[in-house]
Amino acid sequence: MLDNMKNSTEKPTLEELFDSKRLHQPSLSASSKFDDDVKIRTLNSFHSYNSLTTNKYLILFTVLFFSCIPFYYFLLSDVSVSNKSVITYTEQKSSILVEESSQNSKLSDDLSSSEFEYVENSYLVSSSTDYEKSFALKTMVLENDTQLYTSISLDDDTFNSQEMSHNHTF
Amino acid sequence: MDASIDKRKLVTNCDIDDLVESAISGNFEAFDSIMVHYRDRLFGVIYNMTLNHSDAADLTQETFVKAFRSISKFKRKSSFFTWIYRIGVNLTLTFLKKKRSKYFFSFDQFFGNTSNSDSQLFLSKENSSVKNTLLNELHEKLNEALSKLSDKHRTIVVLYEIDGISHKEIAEIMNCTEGTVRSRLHYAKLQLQSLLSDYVR
Repeated sequence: MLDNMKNSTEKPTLEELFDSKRLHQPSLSASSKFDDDVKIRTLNSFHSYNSLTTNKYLILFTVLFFSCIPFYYFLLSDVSVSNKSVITYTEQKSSILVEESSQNSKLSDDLSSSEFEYVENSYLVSSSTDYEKSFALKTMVLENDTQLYTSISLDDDTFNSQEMSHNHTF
Repeated sequence: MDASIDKRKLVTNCDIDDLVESAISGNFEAFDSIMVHYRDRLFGVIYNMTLNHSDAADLTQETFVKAFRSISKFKRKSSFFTWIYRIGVNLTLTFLKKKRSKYFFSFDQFFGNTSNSDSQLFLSKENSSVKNTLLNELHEKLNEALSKLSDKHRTIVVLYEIDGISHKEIAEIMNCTEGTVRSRLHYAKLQLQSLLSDYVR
């Protein structure tokens, strides 16, 4: 039938064809099944979505938990090993220092001198600096030979060596 | 009269906002009313994009399922109508893209589901049955021509010329500028005019 239209003068315009199509839009109103299908699909998707979300978090938690166990034990072992090595190293180093100091005769003599009176500090020691401060010389008598302990770098004409030696003598 | 038609008549544009609010808070009944309000129109758009009745019905269902699932994400920056159309159009474009290689247009069931009442026929001299036959054949030719357009051009023609949506709303739905919409529409109509030159003036 359309073939007859090809030579016809009564052809519709494109806009008229669109208008005609607009009026002949397919409808779903007759299909009551559509609404039920949408409801079923919506509820199903919600159910599956919630189950998927719950399962997803459960799986994630399980994987994280089991992967953390070996890591935790690894950390524990690592800390104990490092603590042991630090303690061993400190003990060795201390004994070496004590041995070295006992070989220094001048230092030994000074430490055994009765002219020095050591006073034990009463405050709590919490750091290495505090530890150094925890002992102090209460009295000290300076003699001429204390210049032996002064620094060589202070041997300058412009300085008063006697005065400087006093300043740098402990 | 169908119960769903009664329900649709009760829903006005003012009610839609209230229904959307209610649906956001999880009221399925409210969403059901929204669905009845937009169902046929959305189906029409999707049908004209896919030109397949069962695919269109399936995609319309999927649109509503997806819309209900993500209705809490609706931020009211656009109208609800634009939002749900955007979901439908995007789903259909994705569907067409996936199906392009094996896609063929079937015009099945289209004529069985159309109502012939109140049609503004241009061939007024013909009797009713001849008019309908001729009209059906013309619609078939139009569908054929539409199928030769790209998905985006076809979507714009369907939304503007058949569904009567404004350029601005189409731009929001398709996430492009109004200029792009006008340009694509102009190009698509030129193509259609050329493809249907035997049947339209």
